[in-house]
Amino acid sequence: MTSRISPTALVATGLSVRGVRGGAPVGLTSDVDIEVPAGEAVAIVGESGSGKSLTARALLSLLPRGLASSGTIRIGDRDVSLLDDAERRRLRGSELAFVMQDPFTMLNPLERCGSQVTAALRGPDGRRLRKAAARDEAVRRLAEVGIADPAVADRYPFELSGGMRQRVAIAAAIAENPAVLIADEPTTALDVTTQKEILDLLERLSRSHRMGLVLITHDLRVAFSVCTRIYVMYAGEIVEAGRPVDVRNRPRHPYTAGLLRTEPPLDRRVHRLARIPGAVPAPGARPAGCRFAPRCGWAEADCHDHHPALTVLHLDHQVRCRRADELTEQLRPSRTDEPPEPAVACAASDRALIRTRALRRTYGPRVAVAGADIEVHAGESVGLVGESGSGKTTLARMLVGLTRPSSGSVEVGGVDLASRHLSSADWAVVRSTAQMAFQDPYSTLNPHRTIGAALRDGLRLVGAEDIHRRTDELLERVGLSGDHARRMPAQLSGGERQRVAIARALARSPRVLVCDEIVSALDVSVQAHILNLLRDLQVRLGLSLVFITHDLAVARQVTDRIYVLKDGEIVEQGATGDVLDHPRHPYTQRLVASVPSPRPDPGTELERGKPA
Amino acid sequence: MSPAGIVLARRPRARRFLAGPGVPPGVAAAALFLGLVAVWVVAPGLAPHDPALIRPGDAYQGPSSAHLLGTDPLGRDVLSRLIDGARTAVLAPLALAAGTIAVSTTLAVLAGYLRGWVDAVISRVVDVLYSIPALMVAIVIVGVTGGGFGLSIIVLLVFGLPANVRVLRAAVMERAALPYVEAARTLGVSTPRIMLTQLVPAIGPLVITSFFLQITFAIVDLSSLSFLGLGVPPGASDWGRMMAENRATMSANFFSTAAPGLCLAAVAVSANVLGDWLYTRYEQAGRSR
Repeated sequence: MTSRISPTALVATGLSVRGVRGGAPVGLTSDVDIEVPAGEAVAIVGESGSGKSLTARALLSLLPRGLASSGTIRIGDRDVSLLDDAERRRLRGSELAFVMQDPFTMLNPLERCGSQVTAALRGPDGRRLRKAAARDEAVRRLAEVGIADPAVADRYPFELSGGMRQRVAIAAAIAENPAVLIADEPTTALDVTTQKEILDLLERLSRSHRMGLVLITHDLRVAFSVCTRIYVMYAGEIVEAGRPVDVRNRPRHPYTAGLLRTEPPLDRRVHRLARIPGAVPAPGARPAGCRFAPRCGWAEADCHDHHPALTVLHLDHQVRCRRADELTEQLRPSRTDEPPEPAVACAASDRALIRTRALRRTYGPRVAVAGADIEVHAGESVGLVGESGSGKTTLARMLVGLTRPSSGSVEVGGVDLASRHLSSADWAVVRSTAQMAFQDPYSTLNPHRTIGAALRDGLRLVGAEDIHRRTDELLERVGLSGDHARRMPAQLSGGERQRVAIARALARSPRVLVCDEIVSALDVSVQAHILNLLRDLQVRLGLSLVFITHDLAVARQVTDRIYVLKDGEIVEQGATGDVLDHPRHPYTQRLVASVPSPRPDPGTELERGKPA
Repeated sequence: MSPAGIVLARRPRARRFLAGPGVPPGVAAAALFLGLVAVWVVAPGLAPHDPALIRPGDAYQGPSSAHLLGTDPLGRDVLSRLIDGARTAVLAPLALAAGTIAVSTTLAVLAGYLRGWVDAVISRVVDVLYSIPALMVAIVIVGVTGGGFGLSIIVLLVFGLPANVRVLRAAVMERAALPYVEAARTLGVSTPRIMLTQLVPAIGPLVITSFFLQITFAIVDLSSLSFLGLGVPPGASDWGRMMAENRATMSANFFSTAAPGLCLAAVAVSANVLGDWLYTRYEQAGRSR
């Protein structure tokens, strides 16, 4: 509705991206229509493989080599499709600006921040600004993005934190007052508290500069918190578009509804996280009918045969689903039908499998972990939460003997890992007590060895009899099939790799599994599968979990107790529900408050009043 | 929905190399040539004449139907000598490169993964070797001792180590910090096993490239020694030696010098092309995105 009041900053019609795969042309995205009103933010939401980043790059005419786009793009009242390369290049920066995900590589490491901000600026005479004028301008621009300290203009990017760098990058992007700012996952690499600040900043700038903001994100919560219009993409096309209130409360496409359900809630622990079966089809392997049909619980025969068109339902709400009208009620996010599961009371035994006392690790003058006391009992799930640099990963590595403590003690299965002399028998006890799964699904497996080889490493060490049969069992235990053993890691998706990483750790039949951010690089629908798997393993094998995460909603779902870390110190601990519902330490309160929440909207209140 | 699609970006341009599943023509040519040389190696009997047969009456002849590449100043058939010489021209560099890379990989994995004093010793020795000009030392040692072909191979092997150890050690150090190596440590896999089953495959693509690059260096170094009259004994039909012996009479039979020279260059280039291709294939098999 608001879009009719504001002039539009950018309109893309029928935007498609094509590429070549194996010699044959392949459509990567098809017929994407996007409208961005000036002074407002729209979000393109989707999982990996949805084509959201390609769409952003097509808008900027910055597609990777070998890809071509078609369709029309209008910026203000200019038709970009009629411009040549040089004119389009001039458009970037002055009319269209781009902020990328990684604030660590977006800035030139050898140039001071101030000159990067003003690099594109020209004086009224068309020349570069004089040095003093450029610096004054840089300071002014940096103040605009919330950097009050003028000294930052003279610093190099590596001297700044991730959030500060992202601010500098935004200042540089909007230096020429563009009409449209395209931000591709601008907060994904940032901590949750920084994320909130950057999102607030982007929203404020888009309003104050009358700038259209296109926010590309995989995170629905982020999209709802800043945007006035949401485009949900799946397998290269828009499947649903509408106001956040409508999309969130009345999703009309089964995929959107599925995404909303797989998003773990922060405020309660659900019995079982909803999942979307299957995986996003690769370009070239997309179904002829509805692209979501193979994963859809409501698909009928017709869904598989006919490709549905994007149809307008009402107001600004569009959906690409044949059965949208019949499914209205089924797709409504049900908040109350699943009773929140009470967190498992710590009925665990007194004997701690892992116990640390005054555990400390320093790197030179830097303190990574400053005296941590934690305990992990049999069968319980313990969370370590905190922002990057809080020491949670260092602490976890000390639990499995990958990092030596500087002082204090770490008892794992009764063996103190801090002691100088550990026999091979001691190590065997440690190895069969605690195992670890790592964060990055792309480096957790050796790219040149098969899955089976990775699993057999551990099985051989426990002297398993029938190694090949045990390999199959391990794979089945984590929801994969035996023939995955012969595959290479490159043939597996991110979620499958994390399953293999869990299976590899289980090969030694440990009593504690230390999971270091194992779902943070995964899509939300895949994340739900892995979290459910971990909870199953905890129950079925009586496995204890040490779950390291920065995502409080995820911690809520899988942990019984949590330790909150800040600057290497445990600032708060207790039962997960208590800590997240009634945080006592200011830092925990800030963490909880930073989780993106939907924009306040009059429609939301009405919605709440209705019986669900 | 859209009007006639207007192309907004660059048209897809087929990538020249490794675009499809097929083998690129350059690689096919390289493989074909190396295959031919391999045939010469296993079957020197293919030579139309006795490569050592001296017939002064036939000396200085250009190409003819009897002698396809003509004859040298002693009247020996150039083609036959070329085929006979393939053995030393190919087998020796192959053995030299294989030895160099095997030793380099071992040292690199030990230094890069164990670090500490092992790394210090290996790296300093490598630094010292780096500062000595390899071919000079080879000329002096082989020339003074008259040690012959075996000794020159050993000397070149030792001096081939520094560059390879440095490159491979850096790669090992990078891989050693990756989660899959840490996971193996956490599982309790022994250090030698981690080196053998994790690190060596992980640097595999680099080992392959280094091997093929090393073949090129070995070919050039060995034929340089032969050219100088060191290494292979006089009279042997070695390609480097042929170039040295025939260069004075190049005007009489151009091919007596050019043929072994071109063959040397072609073997070296082919090895490089093939190595590059294998590397890309291997690397892509492990790449996920």
